Amino acid sequence: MQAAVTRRREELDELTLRRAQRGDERAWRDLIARYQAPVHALVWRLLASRAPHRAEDVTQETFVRVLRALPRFEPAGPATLTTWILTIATRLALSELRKPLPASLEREPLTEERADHASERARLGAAIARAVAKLPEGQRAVLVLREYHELEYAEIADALEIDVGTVKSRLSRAKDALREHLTAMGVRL
Amino acid sequence: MSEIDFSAWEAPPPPDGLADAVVARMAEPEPQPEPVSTKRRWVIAASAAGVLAVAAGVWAIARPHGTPVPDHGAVLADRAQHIELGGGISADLDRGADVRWHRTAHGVEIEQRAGAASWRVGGDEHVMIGATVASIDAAGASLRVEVPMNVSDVRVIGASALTAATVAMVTVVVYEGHVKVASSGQTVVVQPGSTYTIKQQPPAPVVTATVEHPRVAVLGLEGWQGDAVAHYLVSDLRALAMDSTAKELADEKLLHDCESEAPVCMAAIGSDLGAAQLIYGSVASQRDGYDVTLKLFDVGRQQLERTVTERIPASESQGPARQDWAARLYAEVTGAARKPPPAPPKKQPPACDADALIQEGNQQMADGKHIAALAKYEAAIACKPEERVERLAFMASCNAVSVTKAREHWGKLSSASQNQVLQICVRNGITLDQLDTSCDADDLQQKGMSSEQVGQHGAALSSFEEAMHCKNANLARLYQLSFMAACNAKSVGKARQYWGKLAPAPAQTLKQMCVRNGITEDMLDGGPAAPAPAAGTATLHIDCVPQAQILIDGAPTGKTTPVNLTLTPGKHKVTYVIGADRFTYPVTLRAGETESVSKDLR
Repeated sequence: MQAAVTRRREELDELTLRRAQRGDERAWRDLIARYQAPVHALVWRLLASRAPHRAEDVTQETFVRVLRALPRFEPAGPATLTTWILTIATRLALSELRKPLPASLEREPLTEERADHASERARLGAAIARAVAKLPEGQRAVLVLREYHELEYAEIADALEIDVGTVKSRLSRAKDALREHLTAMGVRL
Repeated sequence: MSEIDFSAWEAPPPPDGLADAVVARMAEPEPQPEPVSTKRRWVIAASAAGVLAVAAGVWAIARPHGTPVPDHGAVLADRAQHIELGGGISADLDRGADVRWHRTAHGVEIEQRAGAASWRVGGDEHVMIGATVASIDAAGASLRVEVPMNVSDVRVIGASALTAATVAMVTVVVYEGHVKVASSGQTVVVQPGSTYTIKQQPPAPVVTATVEHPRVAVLGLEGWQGDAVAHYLVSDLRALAMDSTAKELADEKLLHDCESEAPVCMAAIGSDLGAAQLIYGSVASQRDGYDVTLKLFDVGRQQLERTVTERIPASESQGPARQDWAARLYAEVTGAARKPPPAPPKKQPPACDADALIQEGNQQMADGKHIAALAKYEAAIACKPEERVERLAFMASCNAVSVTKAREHWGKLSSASQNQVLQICVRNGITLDQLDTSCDADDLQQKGMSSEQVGQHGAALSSFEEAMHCKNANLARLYQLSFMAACNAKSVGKARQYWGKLAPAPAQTLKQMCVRNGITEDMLDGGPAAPAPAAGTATLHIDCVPQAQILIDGAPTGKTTPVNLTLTPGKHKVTYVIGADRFTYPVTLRAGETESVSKDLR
């Protein structure tokens, strides 16, 4: 496997975190600037199959909830700030997936034509997107958190409120299914 | 799955303006939980009634006397405020007052670390107020305690040769009741209507007790809107006049039904106060300071004797500088000084060996003598101001658990340094809140504007950026001011940083500030920056008060501040040469970027 898209970055520095916890607007902005890319990427990938148009709103909602809950975040606790924020984002995105889709909105097709005239890499990306979209949401969340955000099994278990064993089995099934879908699409593995 | 390149599935970038949207939503009220159903409400109400009934029973058996209040607490007043400690003990805190308390079996122990507070202690209560160099024992009393904020930690650093020059003063004004003040092993009973002043230097306390009526009464100045500077200026004047009346001009005029300061009115006021002379006047806040007018009125002769008007620069409106101004104004208006006051002596760095002082401080630190180490570091800073020594002084302050000193040095550190050393104070029980609250955005903004007006754009930008960390910061306004300072300093990087934070409408208006300095809109938007250093070079903007000659890595440049220099990326040493004095600072430059170094070396 090549490098995951969203590498874990250095955590927000302690000073900015403390200032953010007590409501310093500048520190809030620094926090958002630091985490907006991984949060939006996570939300977008989880919603890509069904409601990508909601990714922006869910990302915004994630940060509102993060900032409101921030004074209660314990830096010395078991969760890093990254894991804590990604957990909030994951739960909001999964909650969004469970909402009924408005009748006026069609699912955005993961277009074939976009890949047809694109490069090999773009075709592979589109194939992965379609394959991930076919995964059950539980498997998809585990796969995205593991492969794109490098969370540990235990961190994923905490985020999704499942056992570590369940995380491992879901990840294994997700990879098997993904391989099967990609092979069926003609992607040479 | 090692054969799959997951990175091929790229996510789009986050939406623009996400932070703005989130911050705007944070200003909205938090949504309340959904209302419970009627049935559930009944269940909750019944449960609550049961709990209340039980609680009422318990309270009836073991109810406390009076209103329950916390048995300990702390307030750092960012505005004038009233606190109740229970049992008839209360205080009106002036802005800036730093007060902690805890209740013991013998009464309430209070620590007044800084600022001014008027205390009321009920007849049955007893309090001990620790006010830096003095311990005040009060029962059934009404009193005011003033601890100048710049010397509140003199007890901790009393041994310092550097700070020995500072006159530490605690003032206790007793309005009524029984008050004892202990300091330097001496205890004095302060009578009602008296003022007791404790000075750290000379060592023996100066007692000015049992003053029945002052000869000179200083009335509070008109025209101030709760400004701490005006308040402390009046306190300074009253201390000089040994006046404990603490009356306000506006109040007295109203009480005497005077619409003006007509002699007959002022004579009546003075007579009622038992004063031979009145000092009164006004203060008006200006962009760069405070216009103060003082008048001396002779009560017996019923005539105005003298009027003095001075502008106190904002930079001299706090601490010892303000006290100097108070003394000068007092001398002028009372006629004690008929010749123009001498200009304040220019600060000259003392002839000293900073490195030797640092070494000595390090040895003291190693021996666990944090206070002594702090004194050495401060002496080294006075000798040669460097951020690394500020860090050492901060560390010593934290280890000495001196909040005031830690706060003082914290404010002089860069954000990066603050981040590195914060934990030293935290592990000694000093929180970030205690360190950060010392800053006043309004004061810093004013300081920055003063710097900007005299062309010190780098210094102005530093002040504006510092103000952004204060609790009362008006960020939108500070972004605009920082943008202006950055444009005028020709700092493309900084201008671009704040350009992105401006709202669209003011951005278009303010853009001209950069354009006239050669920074185009394209450059602000991230386009090619024509004046930006070429790849492989970097630009260093150097500024200083007063003007200085500049050496780079020890070599003369032939330039004086302010100046922009093109240098190779990497580490350099910037030396300011002012007369026979040299001040050297390290700076690290990155290729293609502009850095700014601005110092106040007055």
